[in-house]
Amino acid sequence: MSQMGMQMPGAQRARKASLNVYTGMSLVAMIALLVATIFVFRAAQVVAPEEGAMGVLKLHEPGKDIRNLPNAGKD
Amino acid sequence: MHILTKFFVFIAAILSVLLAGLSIAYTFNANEIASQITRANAAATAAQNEAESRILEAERETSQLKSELNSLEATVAGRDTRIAQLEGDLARLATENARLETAQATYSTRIDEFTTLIATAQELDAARAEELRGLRDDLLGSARKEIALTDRINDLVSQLEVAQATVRSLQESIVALQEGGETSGGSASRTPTAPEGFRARVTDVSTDASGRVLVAIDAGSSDGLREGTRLSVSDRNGFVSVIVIDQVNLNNATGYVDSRRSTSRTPSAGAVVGPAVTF
Repeated sequence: MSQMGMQMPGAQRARKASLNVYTGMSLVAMIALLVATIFVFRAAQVVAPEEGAMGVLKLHEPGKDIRNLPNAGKD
Repeated sequence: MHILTKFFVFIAAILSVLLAGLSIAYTFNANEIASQITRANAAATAAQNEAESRILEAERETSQLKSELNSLEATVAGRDTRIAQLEGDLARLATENARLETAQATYSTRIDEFTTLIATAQELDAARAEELRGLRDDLLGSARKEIALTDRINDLVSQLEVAQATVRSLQESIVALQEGGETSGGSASRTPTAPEGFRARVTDVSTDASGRVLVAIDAGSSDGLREGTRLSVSDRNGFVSVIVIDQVNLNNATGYVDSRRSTSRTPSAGAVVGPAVTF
Protein backbone atom coordinates (compact mmCIF):
# COMPACT_ATOMS: atom_id res chain seq x y z
CA MET A 1 0.00 0.00 0.00
CA SER A 2 2.85 2.21 0.82
CA GLN A 3 4.32 1.57 -2.58
CA MET A 4 1.23 2.69 -4.33
CA GLY A 5 1.25 5.97 -2.46
CA MET A 6 -1.88 8.09 -2.35
CA GLN A 7 -3.39 6.71 -5.56
CA MET A 8 -4.97 3.60 -4.10
CA PRO A 9 -8.44 3.93 -2.56
CA GLY A 10 -8.37 3.91 1.18
CA ALA A 11 -4.56 4.62 1.17
CA GLN A 12 -3.37 6.78 3.92
CA ARG A 13 -0.57 9.25 3.79
CA ALA A 14 2.82 7.61 3.99
CA ARG A 15 4.87 8.44 6.95
CA LYS A 16 8.35 9.77 6.40
CA ALA A 17 11.22 7.32 7.21
CA SER A 18 13.36 8.43 10.07
CA LEU A 19 16.76 7.62 11.25
CA ASN A 20 16.84 4.73 13.55
CA VAL A 21 19.24 2.27 15.03
CA TYR A 22 19.36 0.29 11.90
CA THR A 23 20.73 3.29 10.13
CA GLY A 24 23.49 3.53 12.67
CA MET A 25 24.17 -0.15 12.48
CA SER A 26 24.37 -0.03 8.68
CA LEU A 27 26.64 2.96 9.01
CA VAL A 28 28.90 1.07 11.35
CA ALA A 29 28.81 -1.98 9.07
CA MET A 30 29.65 0.13 6.12
CA ILE A 31 32.50 1.77 7.94
CA ALA A 32 33.80 -1.61 9.12
CA LEU A 33 33.50 -3.04 5.68
CA LEU A 34 35.24 -0.02 4.25
CA VAL A 35 38.11 -0.33 6.71
CA ALA A 36 38.38 -4.09 6.09
CA THR A 37 38.29 -3.52 2.37
CA ILE A 38 41.06 -0.99 2.64
CA PHE A 39 43.23 -3.33 4.77
CA VAL A 40 42.61 -6.32 2.53
CA PHE A 41 43.24 -4.15 -0.52
CA ARG A 42 46.61 -3.06 0.82
CA ALA A 43 47.54 -6.65 1.69
CA ALA A 44 46.32 -7.99 -1.65
CA GLN A 45 48.19 -5.21 -3.42
CA VAL A 46 51.47 -6.59 -1.95
CA VAL A 47 50.92 -10.08 -3.32
CA ALA A 48 49.24 -8.94 -6.52
CA PRO A 49 50.89 -10.01 -9.78
CA GLU A 50 50.39 -6.62 -11.47
CA GLU A 51 50.59 -3.02 -10.52
CA GLY A 52 47.60 -0.82 -10.20
CA ALA A 53 44.28 -1.01 -8.48
CA MET A 54 42.85 -3.65 -10.83
CA GLY A 55 45.96 -5.77 -10.42
CA VAL A 56 44.92 -6.80 -6.94
CA LEU A 57 42.04 -8.79 -8.40
CA LYS A 58 44.43 -10.68 -10.77
CA LEU A 59 45.70 -14.14 -9.81
CA HIS A 60 49.20 -15.64 -10.18
CA GLU A 61 49.47 -18.48 -12.72
CA PRO A 62 49.41 -21.77 -10.79
CA GLY A 63 52.75 -23.59 -10.73
CA LYS A 64 54.68 -20.77 -12.34
CA ASP A 65 57.63 -19.34 -10.51
CA ILE A 66 56.87 -15.96 -9.01
CA ARG A 67 59.98 -13.96 -9.86
CA ASN A 68 58.92 -10.61 -8.41
CA LEU A 69 56.02 -8.90 -6.76
CA PRO A 70 55.60 -5.50 -8.43
CA ASN A 71 53.98 -3.91 -5.44
CA ALA A 72 56.11 -5.52 -2.75
CA GLY A 73 58.01 -3.07 -0.59
CA LYS A 74 55.90 -0.07 -1.59
CA ASP A 75 54.34 1.60 1.41
CA MET B 1 13.61 2.89 5.44
CA HIS B 2 15.40 6.09 5.36
CA ILE B 3 17.25 6.80 2.20
CA LEU B 4 20.40 7.20 4.10
CA THR B 5 19.94 3.72 5.44
CA LYS B 6 19.36 2.43 1.98
CA PHE B 7 22.47 4.18 0.86
CA PHE B 8 24.46 2.72 3.70
CA VAL B 9 23.12 -0.77 2.98
CA PHE B 10 23.89 -0.42 -0.68
CA ILE B 11 27.38 0.75 0.01
CA ALA B 12 27.80 -2.03 2.54
CA ALA B 13 26.69 -4.58 -0.01
CA ILE B 14 29.08 -3.20 -2.57
CA LEU B 15 31.85 -3.21 -0.03
CA SER B 16 30.98 -6.74 0.97
CA VAL B 17 31.25 -8.02 -2.60
CA LEU B 18 34.44 -6.11 -3.07
CA LEU B 19 35.81 -7.40 0.18
CA ALA B 20 34.95 -10.97 -0.80
CA GLY B 21 36.72 -10.62 -4.11
CA LEU B 22 39.75 -9.07 -2.50
CA SER B 23 39.84 -11.74 0.15
CA ILE B 24 39.68 -14.52 -2.41
CA ALA B 25 42.39 -12.96 -4.55
CA TYR B 26 44.56 -12.28 -1.55
CA THR B 27 44.12 -15.80 -0.23
CA PHE B 28 44.92 -17.44 -3.54
CA ASN B 29 47.98 -15.29 -4.19
CA ALA B 30 49.21 -15.76 -0.68
CA ASN B 31 48.88 -19.53 -0.98
CA GLU B 32 50.70 -19.45 -4.27
CA ILE B 33 53.49 -17.41 -2.82
CA ALA B 34 53.66 -19.63 0.23
CA SER B 35 53.92 -22.79 -1.90
CA GLN B 36 56.58 -21.19 -3.99
CA ILE B 37 58.41 -20.16 -0.91
CA THR B 38 58.24 -23.72 0.29
CA ARG B 39 59.59 -25.00 -3.00
CA ALA B 40 62.33 -22.40 -2.96
CA ASN B 41 63.23 -23.37 0.57
CA ALA B 42 63.40 -27.04 -0.42
CA ALA B 43 65.53 -26.21 -3.44
CA ALA B 44 67.73 -24.03 -1.31
CA THR B 45 68.08 -26.81 1.22
CA ALA B 46 68.93 -29.31 -1.50
CA ALA B 47 71.35 -26.87 -3.06
CA GLN B 48 72.91 -26.25 0.31
CA ASN B 49 73.26 -29.98 0.92
CA GLU B 50 74.70 -30.40 -2.53
CA ALA B 51 77.09 -27.55 -1.90
CA GLU B 52 78.10 -29.03 1.45
CA SER B 53 78.70 -32.44 -0.12
CA ARG B 54 80.71 -30.84 -2.89
CA ILE B 55 82.64 -28.86 -0.35
CA LEU B 56 83.40 -32.07 1.56
CA GLU B 57 84.43 -33.80 -1.64
CA ALA B 58 86.57 -30.83 -2.61
CA GLU B 59 88.18 -30.87 0.82
CA ARG B 60 88.83 -34.59 0.49
CA GLU B 61 90.35 -34.10 -2.96
CA THR B 62 92.35 -31.20 -1.60
CA SER B 63 93.75 -33.35 1.20
CA GLN B 64 94.47 -36.12 -1.27
CA LEU B 65 96.18 -33.70 -3.62
CA LYS B 66 98.15 -32.30 -0.73
CA SER B 67 99.35 -35.74 0.23
CA GLU B 68 100.23 -36.41 -3.41
CA LEU B 69 102.00 -33.09 -3.55
CA ASN B 70 104.00 -33.99 -0.45
CA SER B 71 104.94 -37.33 -1.90
CA LEU B 72 105.90 -35.70 -5.19
CA GLU B 73 107.96 -33.12 -3.36
CA ALA B 74 109.72 -35.92 -1.49
CA THR B 75 110.30 -37.69 -4.81
CA VAL B 76 111.67 -34.52 -6.35
CA ALA B 77 113.98 -34.05 -3.36
CA GLY B 78 115.19 -37.62 -3.77
CA ARG B 79 115.70 -37.06 -7.47
CA ASP B 80 117.66 -33.87 -6.76
CA THR B 81 119.88 -35.80 -4.38
CA ARG B 82 120.34 -38.51 -6.96
CA ILE B 83 121.14 -35.88 -9.61
CA ALA B 84 123.78 -34.31 -7.37
CA GLN B 85 125.25 -37.75 -6.73
CA LEU B 86 125.29 -38.53 -10.44
CA GLU B 87 126.91 -35.20 -11.22
CA GLY B 88 129.65 -36.05 -8.76
CA ASP B 89 130.06 -39.46 -10.37
CA LEU B 90 130.14 -37.79 -13.78
CA ALA B 91 132.94 -35.45 -12.73
CA ARG B 92 134.87 -38.36 -11.27
CA LEU B 93 134.36 -40.43 -14.42
CA ALA B 94 135.42 -37.51 -16.61
CA THR B 95 138.65 -37.27 -14.65
CA GLU B 96 139.14 -41.02 -14.93
CA ASN B 97 138.39 -40.82 -18.67
CA ALA B 98 141.06 -38.15 -19.17
CA ARG B 99 143.55 -40.26 -17.28
CA LEU B 100 142.67 -43.33 -19.33
CA GLU B 101 142.96 -41.42 -22.58
CA THR B 102 146.46 -40.36 -21.59
CA ALA B 103 147.28 -43.98 -20.71
CA GLN B 104 145.74 -45.11 -23.99
CA ALA B 105 148.04 -42.83 -25.97
CA THR B 106 151.02 -44.23 -24.06
CA TYR B 107 149.90 -47.83 -24.56
CA SER B 108 149.21 -47.20 -28.26
CA THR B 109 152.79 -46.02 -28.70
CA ARG B 110 154.08 -49.09 -26.88
CA ILE B 111 151.80 -51.35 -28.92
CA ASP B 112 153.17 -49.85 -32.13
CA GLU B 113 156.69 -50.52 -30.88
CA PHE B 114 155.77 -54.10 -29.97
CA THR B 115 154.10 -54.57 -33.37
CA THR B 116 157.27 -53.45 -35.12
CA LEU B 117 159.27 -55.76 -32.87
CA ILE B 118 156.93 -58.68 -33.62
CA ALA B 119 157.18 -58.06 -37.37
CA THR B 120 160.95 -58.08 -37.12
CA ALA B 121 160.87 -61.29 -35.03
CA GLN B 122 158.50 -62.88 -37.58
CA GLU B 123 160.89 -62.03 -40.38
CA LEU B 124 163.72 -63.56 -38.39
CA ASP B 125 161.61 -66.66 -37.67
CA ALA B 126 160.76 -66.99 -41.35
CA ALA B 127 164.42 -66.77 -42.25
CA ARG B 128 165.30 -69.33 -39.59
CA ALA B 129 162.49 -71.64 -40.76
CA GLU B 130 163.71 -71.38 -44.31
CA GLU B 131 167.25 -72.12 -43.20
CA LEU B 132 166.03 -74.99 -41.02
CA ARG B 133 164.04 -76.39 -43.95
CA GLY B 134 167.16 -76.30 -46.08
CA LEU B 135 169.19 -77.95 -43.35
CA ARG B 136 166.50 -80.59 -42.89
CA ASP B 137 166.50 -81.31 -46.62
CA ASP B 138 170.25 -81.56 -46.54
CA LEU B 139 170.04 -83.87 -43.53
CA LEU B 140 167.49 -86.08 -45.28
CA GLY B 141 169.68 -86.22 -48.35
CA SER B 142 172.64 -87.13 -46.24
CA ALA B 143 170.61 -89.79 -44.42
CA ARG B 144 169.42 -91.27 -47.72
CA LYS B 145 172.97 -91.29 -49.00
CA GLU B 146 174.11 -92.92 -45.76
CA ILE B 147 171.38 -95.55 -46.04
CA ALA B 148 172.28 -96.21 -49.66
CA LEU B 149 175.96 -96.45 -48.77
CA THR B 150 175.14 -98.71 -45.83
CA ASP B 151 173.08 -100.95 -48.06
CA ARG B 152 175.86 -100.96 -50.59
CA ILE B 153 178.37 -101.76 -47.85
CA ASN B 154 176.13 -104.57 -46.59
CA ASP B 155 175.79 -105.91 -50.06
CA LEU B 156 179.54 -105.76 -50.54
CA VAL B 157 180.07 -107.39 -47.16
CA SER B 158 177.63 -110.10 -48.15
CA GLN B 159 179.43 -110.55 -51.42
CA LEU B 160 182.71 -110.66 -49.51
CA GLU B 161 181.46 -113.34 -47.23
CA VAL B 162 180.02 -115.23 -50.14
CA ALA B 163 183.35 -114.91 -51.83
CA GLN B 164 185.09 -116.06 -48.67
CA ALA B 165 182.73 -119.00 -48.39
CA THR B 166 183.34 -119.74 -52.01
CA VAL B 167 187.07 -119.59 -51.42
CA ARG B 168 186.66 -121.96 -48.50
CA SER B 169 184.62 -124.27 -50.62
CA LEU B 170 187.16 -124.13 -53.38
CA GLN B 171 189.92 -124.80 -50.92
CA GLU B 172 188.00 -127.76 -49.55
CA SER B 173 187.38 -128.93 -53.08
CA ILE B 174 191.02 -128.59 -53.91
CA VAL B 175 191.88 -130.53 -50.80
CA ALA B 176 189.32 -133.13 -51.69
CA LEU B 177 190.64 -133.34 -55.25
CA GLN B 178 194.15 -133.56 -53.97
CA GLU B 179 193.12 -136.42 -51.70
CA GLY B 180 191.65 -138.03 -54.80
CA GLY B 181 187.88 -137.89 -53.84
CA GLU B 182 185.22 -136.22 -56.14
CA THR B 183 181.87 -137.10 -54.86
CA SER B 184 179.89 -134.41 -56.52
CA GLY B 185 181.72 -133.89 -59.89
CA GLY B 186 178.94 -135.29 -62.14
CA SER B 187 176.19 -133.57 -60.20
CA ALA B 188 178.14 -130.34 -60.10
CA SER B 189 178.29 -130.24 -63.87
CA ARG B 190 174.47 -130.67 -63.91
CA THR B 191 173.83 -128.06 -61.08
CA PRO B 192 172.04 -124.96 -62.56
CA THR B 193 173.59 -121.60 -61.79
CA ALA B 194 172.06 -118.24 -61.08
CA PRO B 195 172.20 -115.55 -63.76
CA GLU B 196 175.03 -113.08 -63.76
CA GLY B 197 174.34 -110.25 -61.26
CA PHE B 198 171.37 -112.00 -59.75
CA ARG B 199 169.98 -110.38 -56.64
CA ALA B 200 166.84 -111.15 -54.61
CA ARG B 201 165.38 -110.76 -51.11
CA VAL B 202 164.08 -113.31 -48.65
CA THR B 203 160.32 -112.85 -48.25
CA ASP B 204 159.46 -115.63 -45.81
CA VAL B 205 161.18 -118.24 -43.63
CA SER B 206 159.42 -121.36 -42.36
CA THR B 207 160.09 -124.91 -41.20
CA ASP B 208 158.59 -128.03 -42.73
CA ALA B 209 157.51 -131.21 -41.00
CA SER B 210 160.94 -132.80 -41.33
CA GLY B 211 162.61 -129.82 -39.67
CA ARG B 212 164.16 -128.36 -42.78
CA VAL B 213 164.27 -124.57 -42.93
CA LEU B 214 162.37 -123.35 -46.01
CA VAL B 215 163.13 -119.92 -47.48
CA ALA B 216 160.92 -118.02 -49.98
CA ILE B 217 162.49 -115.36 -52.22
CA ASP B 218 161.04 -112.69 -54.52
CA ALA B 219 162.63 -113.98 -57.75
CA GLY B 220 161.42 -116.71 -60.06
CA SER B 221 161.72 -118.12 -63.54
CA SER B 222 161.38 -114.64 -65.01
CA ASP B 223 164.69 -113.84 -63.36
CA GLY B 224 166.44 -116.96 -64.73
CA LEU B 225 166.06 -119.26 -61.76
CA ARG B 226 165.69 -123.02 -62.16
CA GLU B 227 165.14 -125.88 -59.75
CA GLY B 228 168.35 -126.98 -58.08
CA THR B 229 170.01 -123.58 -58.32
CA ARG B 230 172.23 -122.87 -55.35
CA LEU B 231 172.08 -119.39 -53.86
CA SER B 232 173.71 -117.76 -50.86
CA VAL B 233 171.85 -115.78 -48.19
CA SER B 234 173.53 -112.97 -46.29
CA ASP B 235 172.40 -110.10 -44.09
CA ARG B 236 173.97 -107.11 -42.28
CA ASN B 237 176.00 -109.45 -40.12
CA GLY B 238 177.39 -111.32 -43.11
CA PHE B 239 176.96 -114.71 -44.73
CA VAL B 240 174.13 -116.81 -43.29
CA SER B 241 173.51 -119.89 -45.35
CA VAL B 242 173.33 -121.58 -48.76
CA ILE B 243 169.90 -122.48 -50.07
CA VAL B 244 168.88 -124.89 -52.82
CA ILE B 245 165.87 -123.89 -54.91
CA ASP B 246 163.36 -126.70 -55.14
CA GLN B 247 160.22 -124.88 -56.39
CA VAL B 248 160.19 -122.08 -58.98
CA ASN B 249 157.27 -119.88 -60.01
CA LEU B 250 157.23 -117.02 -62.45
CA ASN B 251 158.14 -114.29 -59.94
CA ASN B 252 158.97 -116.19 -56.76
CA ALA B 253 160.67 -119.36 -55.64
CA THR B 254 161.26 -121.45 -52.54
CA GLY B 255 164.25 -123.41 -51.39
CA TYR B 256 165.68 -125.21 -48.38
CA VAL B 257 168.75 -124.43 -46.33
CA ASP B 258 171.77 -126.58 -47.08
CA SER B 259 172.88 -127.10 -43.50
CA ARG B 260 176.22 -128.52 -44.59
CA ARG B 261 177.26 -125.20 -46.11
CA SER B 262 175.46 -122.82 -43.72
CA THR B 263 176.19 -121.06 -40.47
CA SER B 264 174.23 -121.66 -37.32
CA ARG B 265 172.11 -118.58 -37.93
CA THR B 266 168.70 -118.83 -39.58
CA PRO B 267 167.88 -116.59 -42.55
CA SER B 268 165.42 -113.80 -41.86
CA ALA B 269 163.01 -111.88 -44.05
CA GLY B 270 164.74 -109.11 -45.96
CA ALA B 271 168.09 -110.87 -46.20
CA VAL B 272 169.96 -110.54 -49.49
CA VAL B 273 170.10 -113.53 -51.82
CA GLY B 274 172.87 -113.83 -54.36
CA PRO B 275 174.59 -116.48 -56.51
CA ALA B 276 176.63 -119.15 -54.82
CA VAL B 277 179.67 -120.76 -56.32
CA THR B 278 178.76 -124.21 -57.54
CA PHE B 279 181.19 -126.92 -58.22
